[in-house]
Amino acid sequence: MMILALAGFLAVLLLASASERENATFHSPPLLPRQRHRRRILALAVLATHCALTLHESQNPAFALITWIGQFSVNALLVALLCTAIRQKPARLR
Amino acid sequence: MTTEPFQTHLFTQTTRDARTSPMATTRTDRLDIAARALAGIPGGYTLAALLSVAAARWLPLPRADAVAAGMMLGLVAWPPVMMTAFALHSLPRLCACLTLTTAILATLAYWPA
Amino acid sequence: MKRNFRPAMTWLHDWSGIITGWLIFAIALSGTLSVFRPEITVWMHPELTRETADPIPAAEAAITWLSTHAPHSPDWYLDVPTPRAPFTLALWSDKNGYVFRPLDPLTGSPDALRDTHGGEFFYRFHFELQLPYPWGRLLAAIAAMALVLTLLTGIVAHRRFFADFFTFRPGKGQRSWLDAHNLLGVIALPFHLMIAFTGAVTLSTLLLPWGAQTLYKSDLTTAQHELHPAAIERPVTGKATPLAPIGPILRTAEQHFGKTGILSFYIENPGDQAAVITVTAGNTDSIGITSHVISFDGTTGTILAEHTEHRPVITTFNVLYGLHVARFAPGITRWLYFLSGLMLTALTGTGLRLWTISRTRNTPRLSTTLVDRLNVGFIAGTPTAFASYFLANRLLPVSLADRATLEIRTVFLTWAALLLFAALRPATKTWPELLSLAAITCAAVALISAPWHRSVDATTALTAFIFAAAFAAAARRAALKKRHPTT
Repeated sequence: MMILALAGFLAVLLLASASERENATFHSPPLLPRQRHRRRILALAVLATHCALTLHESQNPAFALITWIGQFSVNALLVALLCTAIRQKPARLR
Repeated sequence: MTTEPFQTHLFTQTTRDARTSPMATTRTDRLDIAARALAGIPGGYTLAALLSVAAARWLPLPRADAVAAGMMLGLVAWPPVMMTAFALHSLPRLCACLTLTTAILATLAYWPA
Repeated sequence: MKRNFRPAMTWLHDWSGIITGWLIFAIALSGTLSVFRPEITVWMHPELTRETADPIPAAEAAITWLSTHAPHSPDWYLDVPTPRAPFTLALWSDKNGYVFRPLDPLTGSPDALRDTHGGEFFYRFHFELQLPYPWGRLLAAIAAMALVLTLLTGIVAHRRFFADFFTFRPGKGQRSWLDAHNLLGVIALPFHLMIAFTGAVTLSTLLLPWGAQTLYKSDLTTAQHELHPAAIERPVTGKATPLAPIGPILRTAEQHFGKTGILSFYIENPGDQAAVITVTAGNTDSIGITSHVISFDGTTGTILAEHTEHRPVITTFNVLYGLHVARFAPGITRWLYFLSGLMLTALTGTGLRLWTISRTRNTPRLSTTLVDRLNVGFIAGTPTAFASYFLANRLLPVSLADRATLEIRTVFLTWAALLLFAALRPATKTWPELLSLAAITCAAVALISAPWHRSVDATTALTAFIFAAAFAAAARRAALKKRHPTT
């Protein structure tokens, strides 16, 4: 359970690191468009696998899907806040 | 070092996302908005209601199922009608489309009685 | 006039948003709280010390009490105890109208429990807005449709939000509000669309009754019977006949339902020869509501009708309905509904704020200034008003007459006072003031939950404390901004 939840969070983090705006938060210099594209496909594949595993593990796939979507939302919010925190830190040090 | 890409995006985005109204509020424009609101809200509701009745009557389902299907179809139909009312260029054409659709649905819904 | 799709949709998004935004904000927040309706009811009854109750003995006790105290009510509605709500929730009518009280699971009496509507207030407010039938429900249905429209046009207007998926840049004025609005909108978009549409579905019989009217004409009994085949209606005979013992009836129903158990039951014409007991199965193993119903003869206890829902369209309707009310949801899912609901509330709040930010920059019109001020009253005032309900519940004397009504009145008086206060002062001043007040009220809810023995008290206190911290942080930000308006 915990491992699966953590994996979901990391998958969303991977997706964020492939996004047009946020990849510069993690990479300096920013990724090339082709690298971002490749990473985004990887992240989406990981997310899809995670979703499939979650459904496979559960007793009731319908419930699990709803839960998975909700978890994705919350993970995305957390990742966005994390990105904000990382981005603001160098600015404050300067 | 990481702020630079954000700065450029900031400017291009602000202008693009500026929340200024695309419609100046002259008298004709107000009339135009009022007409479109009429088409979208009461007009859209009428269309949704007629669709729900037409579907309830003609769908090859038991009565209770047909009624439920009609209600859900009506709900699905209303927002797109509302969007179309504000998206179509020409007001006369909008009125024509809406009247035609409403007439067809009304026929299906109440004829033969 | 040049009319392009995107500017037109942006315009529609802005105006449908600002016209219905305050209503949607209040509906979204009360709906979010209703996710924990039974838990809030338990919190509001500190007298309930037992955390579990056995459903069938509790139902027996409730029926015994109702038979002596409400024999003339034409019907009794009872929700049996669940692990979430260790009491029987009863609705009956007396000469003054409907009475709604939790009943003690052991004695069956409401007397030891304080008079409060508990979480039911938020649930009812969410779709009835404390207005008489059918106006509140119609308004809520229209708000749901408007929310669907605003979300769809919002996808067009903010179409770049997929590129900004994870981006939030604080401390940049309008840019930050737009970031927050985009972020909250896009990450929970499936939830927002689902909850808005299914919200309209729950009220669709009121919004679009024409199909049923055309097919059934005025034959409401047939309509009712075809929609709920197991709901039996029998006219009162006037011959007094005692009810069959409820225990064996519920046990039979339980056997038919399997592991989902019983959700609720109602008795029509209790004490009459024509009494009917209708039992509805629990909703824990499927998304759809009321999938299995059995009705019993109230005097003999024999089964009159049984119905398991398999009709495809009705099942679809029930699933959509069930997705909205989320009775099925296990613990984690429930919290995710709560968080997503908060995101929807915040999405509405940031949208309302954005509408005025872009319009108050130069010399604003009087109407814009008023909207800007009332925004403070709604965005900061609604949480405060809702929190004051929790405070009133613990602070009003237990023996006060008409206590439940006074609790609800507290909410609306607080709300009205805050809106008036916000309307009369500049928004730059009221933002920090009302946000601080919201923080203080939420902190007070956390403190008043003491002693935090029961798990609901501890959880409520923790949640209220997090709200208090968030409001305090927002208030601090707003106060800084008041001092340095450029940042």
